[in-house]
Amino acid sequence: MARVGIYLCDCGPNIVGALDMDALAESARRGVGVVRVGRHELLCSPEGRAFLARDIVEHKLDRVVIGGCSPKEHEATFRGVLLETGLNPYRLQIANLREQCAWTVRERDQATRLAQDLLAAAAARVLRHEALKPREYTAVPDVVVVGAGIAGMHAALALARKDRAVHLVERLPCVGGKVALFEDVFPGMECASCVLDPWMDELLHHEGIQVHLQAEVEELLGFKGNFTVRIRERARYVDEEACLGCGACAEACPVEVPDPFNPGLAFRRAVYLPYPGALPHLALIDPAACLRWRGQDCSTCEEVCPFDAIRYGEEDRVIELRAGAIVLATGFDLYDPSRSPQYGYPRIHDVITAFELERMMNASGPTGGELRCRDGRRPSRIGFVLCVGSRNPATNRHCSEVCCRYTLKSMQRILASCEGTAVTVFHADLHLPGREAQDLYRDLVERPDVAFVRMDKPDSARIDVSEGRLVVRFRDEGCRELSREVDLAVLAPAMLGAAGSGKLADALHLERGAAGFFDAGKTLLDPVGTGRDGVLVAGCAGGAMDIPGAAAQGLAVTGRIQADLVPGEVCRLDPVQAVVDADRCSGCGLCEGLCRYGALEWDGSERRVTVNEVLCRGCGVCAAACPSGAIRCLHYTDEQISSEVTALLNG
Amino acid sequence: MRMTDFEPRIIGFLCRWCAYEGADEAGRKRLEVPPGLRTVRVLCSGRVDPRHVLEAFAAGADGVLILGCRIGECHYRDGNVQALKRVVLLQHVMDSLGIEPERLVLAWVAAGEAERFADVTAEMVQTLQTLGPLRRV
Repeated sequence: MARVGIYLCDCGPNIVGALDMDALAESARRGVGVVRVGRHELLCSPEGRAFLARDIVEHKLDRVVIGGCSPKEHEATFRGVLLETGLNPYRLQIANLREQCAWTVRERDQATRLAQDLLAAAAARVLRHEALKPREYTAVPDVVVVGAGIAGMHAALALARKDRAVHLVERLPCVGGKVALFEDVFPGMECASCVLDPWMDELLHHEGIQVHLQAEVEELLGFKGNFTVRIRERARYVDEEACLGCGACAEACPVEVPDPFNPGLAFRRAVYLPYPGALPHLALIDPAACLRWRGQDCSTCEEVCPFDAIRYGEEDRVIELRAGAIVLATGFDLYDPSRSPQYGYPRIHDVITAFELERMMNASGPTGGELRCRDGRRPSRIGFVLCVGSRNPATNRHCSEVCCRYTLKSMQRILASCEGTAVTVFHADLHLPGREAQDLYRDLVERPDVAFVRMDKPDSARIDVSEGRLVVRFRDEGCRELSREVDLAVLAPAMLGAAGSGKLADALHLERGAAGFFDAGKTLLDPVGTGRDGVLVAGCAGGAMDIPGAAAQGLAVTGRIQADLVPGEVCRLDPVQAVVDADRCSGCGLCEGLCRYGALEWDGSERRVTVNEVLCRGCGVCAAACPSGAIRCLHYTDEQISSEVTALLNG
Repeated sequence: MRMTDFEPRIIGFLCRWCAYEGADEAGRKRLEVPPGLRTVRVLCSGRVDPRHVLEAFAAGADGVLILGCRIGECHYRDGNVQALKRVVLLQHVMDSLGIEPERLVLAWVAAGEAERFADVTAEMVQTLQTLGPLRRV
C-alpha cells in the first residue's frame, strides 16, 4: 500500500500570495494513497530540506509530491533529500505551482483550481513511479586525441600520465601537422620546425602516449567516460623497427607523383619519406602510386633496401580503443583557389599560394630556400593578394585570422634575403591585432620598396597574363579600375576545416559549419565544447587561429578533461531509458530507423529489437512509434502519462 | 461566433528542453496564460503518442497542444520531426472520428520564447472558443 506525502511550499510570498493554500491542502488530502499533507515556507532552504527529510521518515512515506517552483529549479535538490532518507530518488514528482500557475494566472480562484489539478496529477503519477536505479560505471580516464598538430600534440603531452593513457590518432604518416612544415613564424621569426623537433621527439617516445599514424577514426559509440572508438591504421608496408629512413628505396623507385607536402614544386616517389625532417623518420609506400598495386611486378625498393625493411604483405590494422573523452584536433586545409577562376590558379604558373611560398622559402624545401619563378628567374616584383576565397558570401564568409600576419612575416623574410625585390600587398583592410603586428606593419609601410594597396572589397582581385606579363587587376576604394604588374603573385587563401574531417563528423554525429570547422564554442564561456558531452575541439579544427591560439586550446581541453574526467571516478548512467519487452516485440523493425543514437539493435537470430543501454538517451521517440506497445520509456511510460492527463482533467 | 465566456480545457504536452522552459520563462515574465491550460512535461515532443492525445480528448479536453523545440534545434536531433509527422496523420484520423482537426495544435517554442508561448496558448483559446466545447456522445 503506497504512502504518499504531499508538501506545499509557500515559496516565500510567491505561491502563498496567489493561491488558497488551505483549499490546496484539503483537496490534496483526498488523493489515493495520500497519508500526509505538509506545508513549509521555503522547502529548498536548509531548514526546509531538513524538515522534509524528518517528515518523510516520521510518516514512513514511500513517495513524495512537492507543490512548489518549477522542477527545473529543484528537482535535483529534492531527489537528493529522498536519497538521504533512503527513498529511491525517482519516487518524486513536482507540481509546478509557481512559474506555470501562481505567476501566470491572475485570478485567485482560477489559479487555485489549476494548482489543485496539477497536484492531483502529480499524486496520480507518482503512484506509478518505479524505483529506478542508475547503473554505475567507472569512467575510463584515457583520452583519444584525433590529429597530431599543435593543438593535438600539446593536449597529448599535457594529458598523458601514469593513470591516464592518451591515444593520438593521426591521418598522416608523421606528426607535427602543418606547422612542422613551416620555417620562420610570426612574430619572432623563430624556426617552427626547429622549435617543434625536441617536442615531437618527446611525444613519440612518451610512455603514456600511443601514437597511431596513417590512422583514422571509423566509428565512435558511447558517451563521456565510456566511449568505444574504432580506428583503422593503414599499412605502411615498411617495418618500423627495421627502417632507418636512409631513403635508398625512394631513390630507386621508378614512379613519380606530385608531392602534396610541396604542392606545385616537387615530385616524390611511390615509396617515400614524407619530407626532410618529418618525424618519425620512416619510409612508407603509397599504394595509389605503387606499380605492384596496379598488377605490375616491381620489387625495386625491396631489392635495394639495406635493412630488409619492406613488407609488401602488411595489412591494415583495425583497433578498438576505450576512452573517456575525445579531442578533435584535425586542423585546417586551405581553400583551393582554382575554385575562384578570377585568380588564374593554377593555370598561370607564377600564381602560387602562401603555403607553396612557404615551402619554396624553406631551406630544406625543394629549391633550397630560393625564391624562383616557374622559368627559373628571380622575381623582383612580388604581389601578395589577400582574402582569396574569404570574407565573401559567394565563397567563404569568415576572416581567416592569420593571413595578414603571415604575409607581413613573408615580406620581412623576402626583403631581408632577396635584395632588390619590391613587394605590393593587395588587401581589403588589414587584420593586425596586438603590438608586434602593428610595429612590423609600421616598419614595412615606410619602405619605398613596399606598397600596401587597398581594394574596394575582399576577394575581388583578378589576375591574368597580358602580353606575357603577369597583371593583378583590382578596384580601389575610389572605384577606379587599376592594375599592377608583378613577377610572382602569392595568394592567401581562406583557412577551412580539414577536408578529411567530414568523415569524422559523420562518425560522431557532429555538425560542421559551412567552412568545414566543427561547431564548437557555441556558448559564450565554453570555447572548446561541442554539443556532445565528452567530445572537445581544439585548434583550427574549430576555427581559424594562430599557433599560440591552437596551443592554448590544446591546454584548454586538457584542463577540461583533468577537471571532468578524474581517474577512478564512479559515474552514473541516467536510468531514464527505453526498454523493450521481448515478448511483445513483433520484430517489425519500425523503431530501429527512428533512433538517432544507434541505440536500437536488431537481433537477426531472435528477430526482435534490443536497446543498447550505453547509447539510449531516453527521448521516447521509439516508444511512441511502436505499434505493439513493446517499448517502455522508463519514467515517461504510457501509464504514467495517461494517469497525469486523466487527473489533470478530472481532479 | 466566438463564445468568449467559455474557458476551454487544454492539455499541453511540453518538451522539457525548449517548450517547458519557454512556459517557465512566461511565468518569470509574469505573462498571462489561459487558466484552462494544463501542462504535461515530456522529454521530447516526439514522445507524444497519438493515444495520449486521444485519451486527453476522451477524458474531457477541448483541445490538445503539443509544443516542442524548433525544427533543427531538437535536443534529440529530430524527435520534433517525428512529432510533426504523427500530428499530420492524427489530424486525418481525428477528422474521421468527428473531432475537428483544429483541436490539435503542434507548435515550436524555443526556451527563451516566453511571448510566443503566451501567444500560441491565447490563439488556441480563441480557436476553441469559436469551435465550442468538444461534444461528447
